Amino acid sequence: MKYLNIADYNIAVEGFEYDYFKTRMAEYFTDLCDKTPDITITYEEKDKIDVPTGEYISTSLGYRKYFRQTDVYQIYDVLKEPDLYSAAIDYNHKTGIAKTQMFDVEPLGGTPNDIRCFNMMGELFRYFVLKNGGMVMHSSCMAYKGEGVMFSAPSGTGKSTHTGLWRKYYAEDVTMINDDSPVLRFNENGIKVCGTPWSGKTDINHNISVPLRAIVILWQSPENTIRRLSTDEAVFRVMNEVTRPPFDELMEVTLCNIEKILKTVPVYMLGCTISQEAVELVRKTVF
Amino acid sequence: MKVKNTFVLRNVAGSNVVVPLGADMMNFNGMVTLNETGAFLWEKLKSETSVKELTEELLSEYSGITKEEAEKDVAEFIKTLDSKGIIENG
Repeated sequence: MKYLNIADYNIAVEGFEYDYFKTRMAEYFTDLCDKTPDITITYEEKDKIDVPTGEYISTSLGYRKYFRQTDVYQIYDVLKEPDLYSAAIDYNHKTGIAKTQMFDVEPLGGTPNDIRCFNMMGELFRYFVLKNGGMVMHSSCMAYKGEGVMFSAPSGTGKSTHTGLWRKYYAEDVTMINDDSPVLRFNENGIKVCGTPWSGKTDINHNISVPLRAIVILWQSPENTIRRLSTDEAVFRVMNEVTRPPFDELMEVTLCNIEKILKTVPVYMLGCTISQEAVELVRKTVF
Repeated sequence: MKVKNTFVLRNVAGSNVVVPLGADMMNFNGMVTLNETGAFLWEKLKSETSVKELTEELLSEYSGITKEEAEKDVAEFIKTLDSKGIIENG
């Protein structure tokens, strides 16, 4: 058994022996933790993945199927209908035990298991955090002088480009938290934003947690403009950047989390060019 | 007609948000927020009703509007929900 500390959660893992996994997780491994793990995740490579036993809920991306059986969420990737699967997660949210299985699709031209098992754990993590006071939000997120700002927008808009400018002009004050999928943690003291090893196409992420200062929704514009959004406007924008879980009670949790965000931190709309002027406009408005 | 039971109306920080659940969640793009009148009509549409009934409900709830305005509001509201696949005709 090995231990990870991600977004201040204690995670016990077994069976993930790939070098790729160890490299991507390098910053998140921790010594034997003295507390009970928040979740224990096992991994097994299988010649044939067990058929899901739960009730079918829905399908996303054309191949990812969701089932549930009492306390167990089942997330299965279909290889061939009706019952050949390439990957499976069985997450019992009561016991905190998750079982992942992977069928090797590399001989069929697919992605190798080392990469897939890392990504599958990221998928499991989305549902695990919702059960445990957190939520993944799509954004490029950095800490500026110890406070977090999330830059959110549809893929391809230039979130990473914008945080790249901050790193260029404020190298000493800026630390990247996660370039694509940071985690928010909610408690009575407010909202923290935390790094995770899953950061989209890049490996830009750090294992740090800071208080969340603001969310900035970004769009490309010929001029630099910024304004604070009303709650009505912000709810729409924030909801577009979070996972909408197929499990009903997790959707309820997601809505409560969105409400907490809107009550706690300002959401801004930034029209921006790729320039130092855009960075300065945000810095003067948000801080 | 009525709203599908896979859609629910939730108040999120003061905004009335239509939230798709379960299977519809995966296929639903965009978002619908409702004003006060929309939220009122939504409540009525949770059980089987008709344009005529909705118009009457609206007229009895809001005194300042004419029958023509109420009919127009209801028709537009139904059209919006229908275009997003939120309504089922029974």
